Amino acid sequence: MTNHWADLQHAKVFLIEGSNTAENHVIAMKWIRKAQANGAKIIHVDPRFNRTSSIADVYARIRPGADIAFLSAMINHILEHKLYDEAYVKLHTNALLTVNDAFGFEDGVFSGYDHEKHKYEMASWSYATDKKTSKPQKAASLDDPRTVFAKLKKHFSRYTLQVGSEISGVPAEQIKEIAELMANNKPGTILYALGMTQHTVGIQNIRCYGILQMLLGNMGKAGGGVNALRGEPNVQGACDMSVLNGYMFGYLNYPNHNEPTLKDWTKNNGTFRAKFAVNGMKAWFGENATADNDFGFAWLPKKSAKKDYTLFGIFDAALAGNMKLLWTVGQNPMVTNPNLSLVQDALGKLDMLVVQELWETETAAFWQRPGVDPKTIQTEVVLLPAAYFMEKEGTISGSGRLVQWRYAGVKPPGEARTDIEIFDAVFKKVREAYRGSTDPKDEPLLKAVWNYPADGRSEAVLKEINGTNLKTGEMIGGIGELQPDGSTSSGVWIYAGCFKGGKNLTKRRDMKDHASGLGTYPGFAWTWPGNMKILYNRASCDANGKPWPNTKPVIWWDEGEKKWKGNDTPDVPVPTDGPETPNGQKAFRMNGEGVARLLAGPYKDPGAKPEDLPRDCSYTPKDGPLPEMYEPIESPVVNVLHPNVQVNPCVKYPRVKGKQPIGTVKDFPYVLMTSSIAEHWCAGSTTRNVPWLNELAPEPVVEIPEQLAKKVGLQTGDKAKVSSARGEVVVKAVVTKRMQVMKINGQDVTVVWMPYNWGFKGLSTGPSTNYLTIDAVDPGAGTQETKACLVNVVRAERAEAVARR
Amino acid sequence: MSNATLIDTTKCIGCRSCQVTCKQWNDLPAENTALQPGLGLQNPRKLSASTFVVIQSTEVDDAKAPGGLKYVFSKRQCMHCDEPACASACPVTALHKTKEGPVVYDDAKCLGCRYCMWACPFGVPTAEWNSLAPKIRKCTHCFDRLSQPAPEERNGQALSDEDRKRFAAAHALPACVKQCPAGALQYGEREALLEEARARMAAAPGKYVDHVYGEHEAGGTGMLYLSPVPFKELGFPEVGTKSYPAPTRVALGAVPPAVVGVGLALGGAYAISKRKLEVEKAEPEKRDHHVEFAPLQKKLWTPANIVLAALMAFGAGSFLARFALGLGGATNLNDTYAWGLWIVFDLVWIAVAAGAFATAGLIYVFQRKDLYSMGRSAVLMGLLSYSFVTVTLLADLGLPWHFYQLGLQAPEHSAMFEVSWCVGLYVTVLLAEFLPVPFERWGLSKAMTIWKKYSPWYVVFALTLFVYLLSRSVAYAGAALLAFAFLAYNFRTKDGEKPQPILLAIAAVTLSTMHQSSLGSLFLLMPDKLAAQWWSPVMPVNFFLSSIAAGTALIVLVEMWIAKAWKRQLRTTQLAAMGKVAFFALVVYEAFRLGDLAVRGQLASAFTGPKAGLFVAELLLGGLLPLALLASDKLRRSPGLLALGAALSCGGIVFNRINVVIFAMKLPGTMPTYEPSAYMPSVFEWGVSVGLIAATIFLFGLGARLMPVLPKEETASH
Repeated sequence: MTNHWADLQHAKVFLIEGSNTAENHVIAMKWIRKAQANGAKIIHVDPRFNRTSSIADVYARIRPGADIAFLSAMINHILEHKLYDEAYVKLHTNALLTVNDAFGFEDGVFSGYDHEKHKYEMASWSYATDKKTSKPQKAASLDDPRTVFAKLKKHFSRYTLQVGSEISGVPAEQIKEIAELMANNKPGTILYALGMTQHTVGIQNIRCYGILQMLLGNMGKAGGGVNALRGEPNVQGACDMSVLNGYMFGYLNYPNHNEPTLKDWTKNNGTFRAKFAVNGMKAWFGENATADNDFGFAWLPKKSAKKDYTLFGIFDAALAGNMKLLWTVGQNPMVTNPNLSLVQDALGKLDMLVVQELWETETAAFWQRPGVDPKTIQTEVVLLPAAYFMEKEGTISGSGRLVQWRYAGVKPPGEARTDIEIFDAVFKKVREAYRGSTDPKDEPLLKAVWNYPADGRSEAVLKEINGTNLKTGEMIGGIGELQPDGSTSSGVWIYAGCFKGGKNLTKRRDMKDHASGLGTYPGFAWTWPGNMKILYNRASCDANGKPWPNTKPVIWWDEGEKKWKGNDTPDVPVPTDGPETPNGQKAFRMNGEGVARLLAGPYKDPGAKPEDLPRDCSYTPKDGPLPEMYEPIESPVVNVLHPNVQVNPCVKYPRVKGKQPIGTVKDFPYVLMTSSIAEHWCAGSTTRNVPWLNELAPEPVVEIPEQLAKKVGLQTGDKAKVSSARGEVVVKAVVTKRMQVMKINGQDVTVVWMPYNWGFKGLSTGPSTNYLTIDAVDPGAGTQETKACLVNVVRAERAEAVARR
Repeated sequence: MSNATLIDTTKCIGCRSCQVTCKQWNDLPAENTALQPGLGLQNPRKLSASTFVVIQSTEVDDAKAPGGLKYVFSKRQCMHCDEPACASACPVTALHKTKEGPVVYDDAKCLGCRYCMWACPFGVPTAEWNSLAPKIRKCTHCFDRLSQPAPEERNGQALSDEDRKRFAAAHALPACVKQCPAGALQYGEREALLEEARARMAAAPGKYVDHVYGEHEAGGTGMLYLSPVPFKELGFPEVGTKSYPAPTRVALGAVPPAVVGVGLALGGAYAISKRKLEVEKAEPEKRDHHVEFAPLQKKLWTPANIVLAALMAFGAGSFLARFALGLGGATNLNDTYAWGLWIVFDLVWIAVAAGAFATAGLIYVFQRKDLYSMGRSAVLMGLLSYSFVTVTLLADLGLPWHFYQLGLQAPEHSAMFEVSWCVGLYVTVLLAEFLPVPFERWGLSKAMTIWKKYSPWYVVFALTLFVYLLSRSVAYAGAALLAFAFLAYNFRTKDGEKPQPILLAIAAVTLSTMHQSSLGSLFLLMPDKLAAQWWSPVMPVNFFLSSIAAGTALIVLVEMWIAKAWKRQLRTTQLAAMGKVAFFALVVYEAFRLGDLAVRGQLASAFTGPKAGLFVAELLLGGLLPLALLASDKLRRSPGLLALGAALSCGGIVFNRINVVIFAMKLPGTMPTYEPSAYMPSVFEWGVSVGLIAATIFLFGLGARLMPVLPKEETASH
């Protein structure tokens, strides 16, 4: 979340798309309700009328996978009718910056596309830079055709309300209504979750949100923002640490094979981030990390550009026999991964599978799944009994980046141990095995600092994450104290300051709100970075550092004290650099440009020392600098915008021949969307072992519209066979008005929904929906397209009768 | 201050965390469920002993609503009525309304009578059918949370006063309210919540229907609902706005003065009758009513008695099975039919056993010495009947070992409490009435002396106690004490006089009047369930009057059966006399009943509305036909017609009781689906009832053989 949970109360309009907030982020409703009581409007865009729709003021039914068409039509309407916040756009975005003349978009692809490699050469997307300063050139007016803004307008101009409606199924009038509701009620917030990210266009879906909120001037303000509702528990914390395959600690890029030295890495990432990498390596390798040895950069694992490190790459590799051992911790891919047939085959190719879990999950028991002879599977499976979160202490980071210490409530039962105990024991044992090795590849193991006391181990780790001033031995008080020379350490730079003054600030429990009533509760636990509740809050002010009119003041420039002050930690590079300085106008200082990127091309910001290195580099999506509507890999309709480029051109699918069939609308006429439910969480490994939850949601179902039920002769409670190109499952049907057949380009499109939380283990068992879903992934984020694939639905009895004949 | 919860269904998001948190706080097991076709999200289907809260989901088409659909979630649980029918029903205050608002339950007091389950207009209380000690279970508005102390420390640190206050405040909420993330539930002072509800309605015109469900329903409830659609569409019952316990309160309020009044009136009647008799006696005696009694000289093990013994054995086995398997295991009773065959049996049996008090009253109070010959058999029949009703109740109660709570608790207006005490005391009176028979048989003259001396004073004690228990007023109890002591003193047996159990007879009639009528009062809590032809605020009077008709008719039948079974002389004169009493009792009853319907303007609809067929059948076969058959002395002297008339009269009232419990009673089933479960008595239920009927008949025969119960058969012609 750019903002945080309690901040939702300040929103005047909510666009909830790609999230069933009421069901899957139930507690958010506390604040949404508060806003609604103050007159806020709730817009819910979803293919399925669900519990969130029930509380919405506007409900728009959208076809799964057509979000970009819908959002682009909204963006176009806002651009066409000048509903954007011009002052904000000019000040805080790259709208006025001029773009390379070579940039273009034609026949469904952006300039620089390599049809052979399914990849872009991105250079043409960059700015037209000033030869002397290497900085982007800034135009005087938004009307200048060279500007980002002009490119933006041109790109989105194809998305008229009519086009948006024909593709997405949302009526043109309703797209207009929603766009105007957003434009007329500010600040407004956008809430999303996996409904938006689990697509082959996941990143571009969210890019639409960024563009929309920038145009409306909603970023950085109380009640605004783009808010990802993260999964519980601790998805946010896991990502902050280094669990995402592309990132190390604090979202720093993992080095690639072509970045053997820190300098090489810095060339692509900038000196600004290199400082944090150095601090991280100091935390990892301690005194072994010195300026002379690049602070141990050589010991960091390097990614090969040829390999796929995503969750899906792991199983592809295992299937190909290229992976010997897989250790899964708190994850149950035999339920949650799409295309489970591939997963189960891949697991069977491993030499060894280690599962660290509370229960024997479907993954741990894959070798004895129904219908399989265990003798045919050679994989050795080790189940490590792990402790539940209530049984261990440590921090959990929420979606609002609130890092909260939790105490162990009870001791783990039996032989169960906390994750940290298991990792500690394994690491020490492994290192022991390599003791005395001179092989360079073993150096990382031998050089790493690993001395956490058995008593208070978690807190020792948090101290290491926070970092230390190695000269004074004091705890780091904030990111500003971190040095590039190895004199400080910080395991995860964004967490620097959580142990300020030697006190574990995540343990704070002050229930008092800030005097401003902004809902920041600054004394409750601690928020990264620097206890900042609203990211980019500099954007809540105008060029002079004054809060925009009609907004709740978040921060401001205090002319008397000559510093940025406010009701929240100011998000500025240097608190004493005023609006007259370049640093005083960097509302989006995590971008090289210092402003938000409507068009996201490659950019390396100069101005570092030494001068051959960039100061900072901006992230560029692999699949385009602007969002473009591409159909899901399995779609019931043709991409009317560019029939020859039906799907995201950067997606490679199938990756594994024979295991990743693509179904067609002829055989599989309906669209399946899947999701989790309020009653069961994710794989259900935990929740399906809670009888109270099983009572509420006892079995998986398929929700179908009445029209389809009539057509195939299904009634609620009947067993339906749902099949895709990848598999089939039999579950009970729920016939409901909440699902409806949609009209897409004059064609009937039927959408059905299934929860994916079941498997063959636990107290409540049922077929896994993910035997049906497709494992095509977003080229940038590696998220699977579980929100849209093609299926067929028939009555189970009838299907069996046919099979017998 | 009475607290309530405001449930705004437009705010509920159906997350059902209230359902789970309720189970957590109350430590309730999960139910084994499956997808509920037709109920959408809802699961389980209804409230039960392990589910106190259910979230209902309703999809309502509405073209104007976003998405053309209103998807409404309504949290259903106990309504916590301001004047709860369940608490009014409870004979031991196990269920009671606290001054704070919640209607709470104390299982240590509960008898397991399940009257609350029948009484509740919302179908809320449920029983633990699977338990050998089945408690009643329902939402208690988390009354037990209010008294939870704040913890001393948290995470090793002592809590500040402020934190402790916060903890306490957080705890002082029902678990569901505390849990609700959507602000759909608000707990607080009822009046303030009503204001809040009205404010919300005013602030958003068109958002809500113009109705706060619970504001007036059933006299006002502690659960107040706001809804975007009419409550009928959500399946909320239309329970009216009247307080359910009000008619019972009126009826039971009349009991203490009635006891004193009836007692004094009977005393007066006795004095007048006696005086009249003395005047008559002054003249030459026309007739000698002296009857001698003797044990029956017949062998015991007749084929009929062997059959009865077998049935008794079956009954005993069933009775044991009831306790070995529990109520749930041995019976087919369920949350809809919390009462079944046994209650029908009790109601019927008590009604027909009214012959005992009617006969005693006629003989002693009204000095109808001509009926004296029937006295002993009537009392024995009554004693056996009432004893076995008590045994049936023992089987029927879920927690019979808590019976002593009847002596410790003081419910305000529970018909069940009244009936329990009244029947209990009446059994002792019946026993006292019958004791002279064994004393005489076995020559226990000392016991007889004690009985003569103390039985009137026992009556004084019993009636005074009864009045006190019902009124909890020393003044009333004092009045009763004075009145009955006055009677006991005045009617004491003077030296040389033949003792007459006049005080016992007065007690028998008084107590019977009270409990026969209060059996009717039991149903005053169910105006919504019982068809209009049967439900009436004067049902207690109906029940009383009909019991006299039934009881006297049964005496006729029993006497005729005795004569036939044991080949004895048919005492036509006495039978005809009793038949005449039965006739007039029936006249009064039917006239009163029809008059009541007419006065309340329901006479026409009684013959045309729902259940008219049953009503007409009851009236024709059990009323007009027997009245015609028993209309004149000539007819009554014809044994065949008399038997038929008495049987129809008796049968009509049996039919009436069955109608009240079964056919005219519409049980809605349990909240929120209101799908009544079917009920057919189990083999063990039949076993207990049939076994006890067999035991009554068998023991009556045995008693008649052992003791001088029946008149000595006169060898000479009459």
